[in-house]
Amino acid sequence: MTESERLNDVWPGDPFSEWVGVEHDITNPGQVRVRLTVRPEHRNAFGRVHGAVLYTAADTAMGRALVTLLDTSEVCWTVSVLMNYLAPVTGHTVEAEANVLDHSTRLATVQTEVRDQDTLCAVATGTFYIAERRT
Amino acid sequence: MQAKIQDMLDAIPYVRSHGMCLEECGDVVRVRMPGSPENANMFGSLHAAALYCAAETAAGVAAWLLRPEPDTVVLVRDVNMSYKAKALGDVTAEASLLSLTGAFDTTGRAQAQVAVTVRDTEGVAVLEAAFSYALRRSSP
Repeated sequence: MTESERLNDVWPGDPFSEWVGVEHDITNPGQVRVRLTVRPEHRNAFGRVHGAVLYTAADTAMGRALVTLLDTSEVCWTVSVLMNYLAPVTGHTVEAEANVLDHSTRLATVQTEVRDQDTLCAVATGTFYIAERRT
Repeated sequence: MQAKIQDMLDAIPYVRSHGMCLEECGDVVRVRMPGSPENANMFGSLHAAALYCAAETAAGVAAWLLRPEPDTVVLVRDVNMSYKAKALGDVTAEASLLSLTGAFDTTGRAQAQVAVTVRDTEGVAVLEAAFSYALRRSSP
């Protein structure tokens, strides 16, 4: 079973990120990249990609990156996120690449970079809580 | 003013797609977001990023109301989100100004800090957030 197949077993997806259109791209243990093709409904008042869309890509990438390191009996959810917006997204594709920095306790730290092709548009650091999955 | 701002929100594709409803736009800005099925996470509660959208919508209106003119541009710079509880059903986001720095009237540039609390239908705080904005006067 590949890392991507294992990840899809543990986290088959969620309605919100699927509705936004976040797609899984690359998976390694502790590292995930997601991709989003910009649609008209992703735009803000200035015709750029809305900050909430970038946040969705970042949060999804961070959560999935952490899941790659969890036991199948564990789940995680977002506790806090600090995100800095550096440049607007004007293109047609958004990529968010997340790396787990630490998951040695029940609180994990994950970092992500959001890019519009070669332009770094946002960075985020998230804290996630790890819990036993309820049966 | 409330109807005008609701029209502005409805003109933003991403905000419109979430069905945001502006309920108050005075010293406190309050926005309601329906807890529709597509806003859910894998656990069935509202997704963290959906809650973000409610919070940012209220915060953005609060920042724009500092200079409510057509040429005022509000740009989000950084956000700090702290999730307190899982959210089910509709939520309301209440935003209020924390600080304003810069001489917007003379330079066309200022910075605003806005605090937001998002609550569920029972009044429980599910998200506390702080947003930093750059306010700019757009070029003619």
